[in-house]
Order: sequence, then C-alpha cells, then structure tokens
Amino acid sequence: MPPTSVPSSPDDKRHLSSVDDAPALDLDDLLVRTARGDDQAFAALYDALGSSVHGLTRRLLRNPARAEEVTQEVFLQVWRTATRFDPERGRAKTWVLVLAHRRAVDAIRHDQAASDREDNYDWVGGPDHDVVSEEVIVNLEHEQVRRCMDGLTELQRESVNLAYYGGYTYPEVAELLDANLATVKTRMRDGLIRLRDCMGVTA
Amino acid sequence: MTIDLHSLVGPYALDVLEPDERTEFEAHLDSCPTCREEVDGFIATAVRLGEAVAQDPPDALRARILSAAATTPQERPTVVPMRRKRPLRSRAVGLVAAAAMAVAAVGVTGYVLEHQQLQDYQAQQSDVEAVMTAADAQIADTELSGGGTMRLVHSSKLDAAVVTVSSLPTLSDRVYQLWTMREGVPTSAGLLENSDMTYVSDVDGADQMAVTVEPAGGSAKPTSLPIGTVAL
Repeated sequence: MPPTSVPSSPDDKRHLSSVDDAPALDLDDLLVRTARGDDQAFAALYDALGSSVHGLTRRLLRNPARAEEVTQEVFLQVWRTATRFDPERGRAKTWVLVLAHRRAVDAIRHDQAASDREDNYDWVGGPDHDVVSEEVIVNLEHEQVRRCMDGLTELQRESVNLAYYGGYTYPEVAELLDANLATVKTRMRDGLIRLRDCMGVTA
Repeated sequence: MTIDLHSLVGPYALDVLEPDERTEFEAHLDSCPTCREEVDGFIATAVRLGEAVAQDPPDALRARILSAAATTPQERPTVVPMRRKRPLRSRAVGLVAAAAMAVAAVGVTGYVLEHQQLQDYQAQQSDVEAVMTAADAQIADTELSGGGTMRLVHSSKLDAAVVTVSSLPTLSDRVYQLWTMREGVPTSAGLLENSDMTYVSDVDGADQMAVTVEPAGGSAKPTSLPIGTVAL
C-alpha cells in the first residue's frame, strides 16, 4: 500500500485533536490494539474514522436512520474481525473503508430485495443517474477530489460516481448509462488511473 | 469463464462486482503481482473518494457503538495454522514452537489472551486427533468450484468429522463457511481457513457437508450456492 499522503479533511482534524491520549495517532496501531480487545483503541479508531465511514454510508444509503444502522454494523464488524487486519498487507483506513463500502452496498441490495418483495411495480433502484452524479459533485468536500473528478471525461466520471457513490453493479451502471459492459469496465479503469495520478496516489 | 479477468480491475476496486466474480478476480490477483499493484493504487484512490464525502455521525451513535462492542465477542486469531500434509506425530512439537512464537509476538499484554486461546486450541486438537486416528475413519476428497480442495474425515463411532480445506483463493471481506446438511437443511459448522482442521461434532443424521462463500463474519443461513459438497 502507498504511504498515506492523504490530507485529513477538516472534520478529521477536529476528531483527531479531541483524542487526548493519542497525539501521534497511528490508525494501524489502533486497529491492532482493537484486535486485542482494547476498547479505548477502538473508541479512538471510531473518532478518527467515524466521519469517513458515516459519510460513505449516508452517501450510499441516503436514508439517515438506515445509514446510522449500517455505520454501527461496520464498526461492530471492525471490532469483531480486527484480528484479520494485517498491517503488513495494508493500511487500517483502507481496510475499514473498504469494509464500510462493502457493507453499505450489501445493505442496499438487501433493502432492494425486501422492497421488490413488497412492491408490485418496478422499483427503479434510486434516483435518476444525472441527479446522483450532480449531487456528488456539488457536495464533494474535498477540493482535490473535486478538481480531479473534473478532469475525467463525462463517461468516466459517471461510471466512477455510479459505482462508488451509487453502489450499483457494473452491469447496472452500463444499463443506466446506456453503454456496453466492456465500455463501462474500461471507463472505470481509465477513470481510476486519471484520478490516481491526479491525486498523486502511488502504489 | 471467457471474459478477460484483468478488465475487471476497475470494477473490483470500485466494489461493483457480484460475489462470485469477486472471488474469481481475487484468485486471479493472487497470481498476478502487476494486477495487485494496480488494484492497490485504485483502492487507495477509491478510499480518497470515500473520505471526500465524510460526514459527522450523530453524537449518540458513538455511545451506542461502544456499548455494543463491549458486549460483542471478538473473532479469535488463527494462532497455529496446521499443515494438512504434516504427519500427526510432528504436530505436538509444532504446537509448542508456535506457542512460543505466539507469546514472543504478542508481548506481555497479549499473553493472557493468547494463553487462553492456546488452551482452547489444545482441547480442540485432541478432538481432531481422535477423529483422524479413529479406526472407522472414512476419508473423502472433493475439488471446490472456485479452486482449492476439501477433505472430510468422518468417524461414525465418534459422531464427528474433521474438515480441512487447502489452496482456497484468498477473499477480501468474504469468508468460506462450512455447513452440515440434513435432508437439504443447512446448519452452520463454522468458518474455514486454508489448512485449518475444523472439528465438527454431532454429525449423526447428516448426509452432506457443504462449503459456501459468505459475507465477512459468516451467515446464519447460506446466501449462495455451495462451491463444493462431500457426502458423509
């Protein structure tokens, strides 16, 4: 994994400074200590990553109450399975956010399946894709991410947005964008290459 | 599978693959260091997208999560993965060496926890050995559809079985789960890790053992079709 050169968002900084006993907060160390049942380390991990996780579940699930539930599920899963985290193989932040995204997408699928059972009409699975991508761009707090998103082609940006912030599968993205599967896969990869290079992520 | 697996590198990093595709792609990643490198960079990029939409959770959520964690047991680490092919008599030595390593690795604070785990582990090992060495032990092997193999050793007399899987493709955030099947009704028999020996008691009346891929932490009921079954 790359060295973390990610500037913290303003929210993160506020949280970090509130953790009194851990000035040099090392998230990997906190997660390792969490695996040993250290509840203070777990609390500090929540303080550091809670807003990132919750932002993601809010973005994906939209319903605030449901997002809270999923944020809670994510952190309980972190607590329960922290022993699986291997600091040799990745960073704690990545581990937690990948888990959060996966969990949020699972919740969307689960909710949609329940909704499909209840409804007799076709459930469209969320708002129109133009609304989704527009809102994502408007709400992006991170200037750098927004600037880098602006550097993508329309199809790259829509593909990345619908996938990551919409939680759609790539065949669903292809359907929404009226593009074929191969095109969507390629646009996702090309979009990620541009974003990675624009943000200076190295791996 | 006819599609070019490498073309899934973007969809994988953005987490938009179906579980079976993801499993297949992860197996591909294991054999492709170049893909691994690209995927790592893409995932780090996706994490930045996640951070960009950070939003403070409600204050009350913190207390709820911390108090829920306080009453939630944690998964135990795999202290000593056993090699399937190692002869039985060398295991005791391996266990002691591994115990020493485990203690050295975790230091004093982790010792009590690890010590308890070791005792549990040793208790389980005697069950495993009883089945492996039972006079009526029956052995059956099967290939799993996602790659890897499963071996079942079953003793009717002891009413128990030992399941070992090996060469399973590594999954991120998905797990392999073992099920005891009775006339099509599954009962969870725990999660599987490569080379672990999983002891399953009370197999009387069961007709099959099955393996499925489940979300992290396992499922109460299978959420996917088995990637392999063995008849008891």
